Amino acid sequence: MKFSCTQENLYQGLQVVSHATSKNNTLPILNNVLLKIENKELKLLSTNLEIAVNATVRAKIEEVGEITAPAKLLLEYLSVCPPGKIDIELKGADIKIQTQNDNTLVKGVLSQDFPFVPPINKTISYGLSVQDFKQALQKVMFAVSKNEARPELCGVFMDFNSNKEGVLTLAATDSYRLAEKKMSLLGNFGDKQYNKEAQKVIVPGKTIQEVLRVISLFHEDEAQTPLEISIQDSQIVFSYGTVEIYSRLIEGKYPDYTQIIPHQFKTSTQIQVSEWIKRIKAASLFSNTGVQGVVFEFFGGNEQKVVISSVSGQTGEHTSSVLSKLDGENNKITLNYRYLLDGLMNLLVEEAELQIVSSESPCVLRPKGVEDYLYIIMPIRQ
Amino acid sequence: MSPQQIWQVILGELELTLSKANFTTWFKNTFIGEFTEHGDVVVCVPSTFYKTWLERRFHQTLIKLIEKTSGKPIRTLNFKVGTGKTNLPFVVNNTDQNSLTETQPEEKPSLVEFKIPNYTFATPPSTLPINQNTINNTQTSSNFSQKNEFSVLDTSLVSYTLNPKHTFEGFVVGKGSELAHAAAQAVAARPGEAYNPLFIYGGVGLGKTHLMQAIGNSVLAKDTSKRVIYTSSERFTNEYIHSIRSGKGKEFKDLYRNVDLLIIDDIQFISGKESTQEEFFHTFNTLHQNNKQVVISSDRPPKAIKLLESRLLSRFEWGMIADVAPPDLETRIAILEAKCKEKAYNLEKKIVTLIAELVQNNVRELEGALNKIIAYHELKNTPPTEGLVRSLISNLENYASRKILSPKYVLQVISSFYGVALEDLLGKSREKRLAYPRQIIMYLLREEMKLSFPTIGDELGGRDHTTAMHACDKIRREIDSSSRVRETITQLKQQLYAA
Repeated sequence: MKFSCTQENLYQGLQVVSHATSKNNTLPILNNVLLKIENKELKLLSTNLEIAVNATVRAKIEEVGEITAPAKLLLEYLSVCPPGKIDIELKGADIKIQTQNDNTLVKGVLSQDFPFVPPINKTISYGLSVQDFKQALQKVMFAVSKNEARPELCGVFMDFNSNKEGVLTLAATDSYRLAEKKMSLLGNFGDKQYNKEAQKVIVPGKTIQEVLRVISLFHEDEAQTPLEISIQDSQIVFSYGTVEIYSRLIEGKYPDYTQIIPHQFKTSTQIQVSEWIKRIKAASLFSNTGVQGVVFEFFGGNEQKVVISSVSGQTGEHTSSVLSKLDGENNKITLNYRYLLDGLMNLLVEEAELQIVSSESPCVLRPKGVEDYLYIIMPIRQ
Repeated sequence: MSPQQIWQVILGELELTLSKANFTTWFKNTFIGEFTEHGDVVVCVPSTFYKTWLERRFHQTLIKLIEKTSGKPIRTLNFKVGTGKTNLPFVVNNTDQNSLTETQPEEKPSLVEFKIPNYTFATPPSTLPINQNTINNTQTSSNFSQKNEFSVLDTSLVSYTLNPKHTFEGFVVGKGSELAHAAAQAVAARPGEAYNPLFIYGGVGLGKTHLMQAIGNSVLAKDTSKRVIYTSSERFTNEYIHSIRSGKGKEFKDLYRNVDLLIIDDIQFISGKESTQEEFFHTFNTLHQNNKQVVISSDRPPKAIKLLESRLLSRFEWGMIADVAPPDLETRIAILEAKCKEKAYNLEKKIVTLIAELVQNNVRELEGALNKIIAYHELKNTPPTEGLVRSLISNLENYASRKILSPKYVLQVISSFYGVALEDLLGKSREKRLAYPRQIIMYLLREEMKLSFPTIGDELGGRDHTTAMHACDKIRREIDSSSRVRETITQLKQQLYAA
């Protein structure tokens, strides 16, 4: 194996893949990144057997070959390496890295024990706008359950086309709150026609984090290329530019959550998101540590206000009143402030709507005038 | 054999040929999902990563192993991504939901989960109430899930399991092993009830392991569904350390705390390992509380195990303590005859008696001597004569036990045994903790090395010869009257002559 490339390219490639190396695994080779020359391209690959990340790096190839090396070591070395040309040559299992002034030898491990990435047919895929997808993931990801007793809730539910053709529905819930976001799928990109089949999968929360991390590493100007998703054989692959992220899917049936979305409300309030975030943070300081409840009282008619209050045996109590435009009857609900803040902070808009049925049934938070996102919270029973 | 058993056997074999890392990584949570009559096998694996790897690296090996183990030709071997758990249907029973709402405390504020028809958030699927028509389905699934959790450690059982040769029938009972044998049989007949724990101790090669494995084999012969673990304390320690390092503490606990019979060999090696002792203590308590049998062996009685925590000590003494003593002449003859029969080899009565007379220490040596004579016979094709046997065995003996001692070595061994400094032993102080070991040394120097009393006195810091005489008399008297002292002396001799 012999090739030359720039420090910048190799470093970016390693940044993309090295995060997927495994920690605390019994197989030490999983801490390594595979450097492989294939079809006159340099490919970097790492995996923890749940996720695999593959990046192609621009390089001038002189000799083919492959080797694995500790990902962290390579990454740290390259981060302090001067920018510019790097020559890399393999001698046995030793990787010789040469820059203008440095001569480095990294001890590698032969690649025969490195796992294979399960092959997947990428000709049939769904296409998405990266920026939209990134936002959509951010809006649902926080609601993913961390309780592994229910594996199906530990992932983001992705429903392609079955709600409506051309629409991807993303949902996540931990059984106390639920976030659902709809976004459009691309029909084609250039000549490439995208899949229109309906399909439902559950993608592990960790994979979603990794996808978000990787797509955030790239600059805005590269955002024109769509992100492609292929699904096969309980496996999913996200391809974006030179990067591919492979992951297993969570098996199981996602609960039919649509049944819990309320459609009739008794009270509906317009809220200013940044104002409410401040008020709720203030009230949160005086909420009980256990259920973290904050009480919301809605007054319609002439008053048109919401009173936010909390009482804690330890820290004290707090009441604040916010003028808000209100439709419907007076109402009262107790919510976990953490859950509500999660929703408000990920709305990414200033004006929103909070809709309540009663103190016993779920309430809905959604951006004002937009139908594609909703966030549902179960109230705290008093 | 059921597909599960076949898979366990295969895993046991693979574990021996693969590195630990490779084995645990790639075969964790795998199982045979399908095994048809025509030889179509489907192996379930956790994800496509495993699938690809096993397809490319282990396809041929696995086919061979499955054919060998099951004795059937294999037509196809496929891998499928799947866990046994997912086949479980979500069934919600109405009454159950009501009872759930009732148990919610109404007065206190509490977080309420969503309610979705046909889906329950409240209970994890495995403990769901089951509808009549799904019973079979669910039962197999829950079996699978249990298997999955255990599979990593479970496989270790296969490779380190009971030796089917060790049965009660094959054990020759002598005077020295009568009690241990009877206790073991009682335990095998009523595990968890008769004597719990059963603690067997005795020197090397006297049949402790044989008896313990016989208990396991007999329990399994009666009921194959019983979970029996036979392990050594060293292995227990290693697995415990490994489980901590790899974050599998729970699996370790699940494995050892869910058995019907736990047999631990050579428990003395646990001494000084504090956290292993603690883990073992909790394991022991859990098992004992659930009336699960525990059988332990050691080369010395519980009290003589150094650095053993007192709470463990008292627990070991809780049930039954039985010792296995070296066999007497008649027993040795009986053992030799049994071995000859087993090997289908005819040996003159006279020769058998001679061997039994010459080899006194332990059964393993006895068998070794017999093997040597048989091998000699088969090689040279001459029947063994008395003289030949004598010369062959004297060789053996010279090797094994007649080590030449020096007074310095005896002093070292005793001082480390009692944990006192050599200088103190040679010094002036007559504290009890020093005086007693000193007397033991004098006794051993006299008995084992035939030193004169004045020399003994000189070796121990210039003491008078009468002191040495008194010491020897005293210890000799104690040996006659106290079995504890006798044991101590035997042990010390073992240590002196150990390599």
